[in-house]
Amino acid sequence: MEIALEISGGFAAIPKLSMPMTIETDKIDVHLADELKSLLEQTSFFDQPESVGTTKPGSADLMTYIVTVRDGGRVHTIRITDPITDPSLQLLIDRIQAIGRLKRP
Amino acid sequence: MRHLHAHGGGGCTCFIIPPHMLEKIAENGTADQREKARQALSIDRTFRAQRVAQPLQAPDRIQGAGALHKNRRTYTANHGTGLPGTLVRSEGQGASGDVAVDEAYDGLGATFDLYAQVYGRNSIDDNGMDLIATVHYGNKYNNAFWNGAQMVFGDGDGTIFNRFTIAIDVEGHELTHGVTGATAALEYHDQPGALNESVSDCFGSLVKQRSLGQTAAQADWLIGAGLLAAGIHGVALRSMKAPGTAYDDPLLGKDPQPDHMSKYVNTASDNGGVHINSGIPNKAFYLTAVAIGGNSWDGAGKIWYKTLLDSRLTKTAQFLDFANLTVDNANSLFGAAVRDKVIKAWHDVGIDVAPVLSWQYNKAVLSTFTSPHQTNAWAYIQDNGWRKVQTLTPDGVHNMFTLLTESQSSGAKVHVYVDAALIYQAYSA
Ligand SMILES: [Zn+2]
Repeated sequence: MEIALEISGGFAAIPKLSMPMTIETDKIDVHLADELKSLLEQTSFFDQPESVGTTKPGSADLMTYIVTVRDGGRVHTIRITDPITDPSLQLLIDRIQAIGRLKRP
Repeated sequence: MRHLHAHGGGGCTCFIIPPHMLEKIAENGTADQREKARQALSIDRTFRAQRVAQPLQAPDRIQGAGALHKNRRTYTANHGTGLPGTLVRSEGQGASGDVAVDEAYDGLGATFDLYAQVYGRNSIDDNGMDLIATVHYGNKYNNAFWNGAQMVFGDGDGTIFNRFTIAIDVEGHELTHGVTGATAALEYHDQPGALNESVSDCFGSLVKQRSLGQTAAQADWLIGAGLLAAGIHGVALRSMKAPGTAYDDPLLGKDPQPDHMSKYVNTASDNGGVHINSGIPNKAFYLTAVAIGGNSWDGAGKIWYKTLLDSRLTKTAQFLDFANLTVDNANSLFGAAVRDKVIKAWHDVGIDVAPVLSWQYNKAVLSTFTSPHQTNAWAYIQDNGWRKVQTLTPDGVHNMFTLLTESQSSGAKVHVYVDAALIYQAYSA
């Protein structure tokens, strides 16, 4: 399974921190891989709509997280914009960032 | 090549008309020509009188009503994402002891005071709207945002970012997004989005400068100073004075902000690079403030604020549209000298603001040359090429005016170019 995360926007909007990060679950610690797979199940990731979160007019500096998961023949991409109201989706984003950052140069 | 003449017929190829020819114009010019020249001088006198009568002062309240209503409510999200969270500190209460709560409270207060005391604005909506902020949002959340109704601040991860309340200009930035939403409502993408971002940086910086009592020359013009964690190579997130120089770090890369339109970044990310290309109008604001001198919130701030409220500013305004309005508003607030500083600031970042098409503008330019000077100036009359303007006497200025009048009435475009700094389009066909 491959999990990719790209961030767009935010007050800081630093391009290098926003660049796509990719996690290949068979190349990371098995416990971390299981954790991510479990979170994807909890969020019913492949059933999530392509766009999650409605923004109020005039909002600014919101971060948008673009998550793509490839698993066998399945590929699904969702765009989630802050503030995230689903705690399991929030946790998924947090953990992808934390685990992805571990392997950043 | 077609020559334009002050008076039809003669063989004049010089730019400034000899006095003896002028006399002929005075005697023989058409009534229309004489009237135009007379009007020009009359308008110029009126214009000068207006400038004298219009000192730097706060604009009158433009909208809203009622007494100023400052009501801060600062909440904690307790590291969750529910908004607004748990109320910690309300207006008038003492320090809570939670540094993020108290920084947010103080930052919102300083921002409210800038808008109220300098611009006569009664909170975000100019109608006393409550100032709601939530801190400790999320888990090591590396961001601050305006959600359309309130401000939200993360704690940062401690590795790259410190808490986002640490810099008072961040509070000013986020609250200003509310002000922009309530006024110009600049769309959050591409150039209007970069203007939206820039306006937030401008007023965020003014909040900081005013709270520190710093003049334009003394200010650091940094956005988010102190926000980068220890060990990160950088001084802030953005520099309005020198966009592109705020950080250069192995983890973060280099500050990508352009300082000139020629370096505008075309990207799909970040809604078209709204936090990147804001460097261009940010620098124009900085250049304006420094050129005017003194406190930035009194000069450049008033021009930009008036522009934000200007009904001519559309939601989809481009840099050039915004710049043109700042020029016009600088003129109406402070007169030609300040307006010319604004024009120069935009030209210096590669935005070719439209010249002001008015007689008084032209006369103000020409007035530069009424006394002996070392300034080089050129004039361009349509189809006639550039010509160097000689050192002028008061008579010479009058001569030049007459020539320009004549040229305009024959449908020509006329420009005056002064020491490579500005192009003034004195008349257009
Ligand atoms: Zn912003």
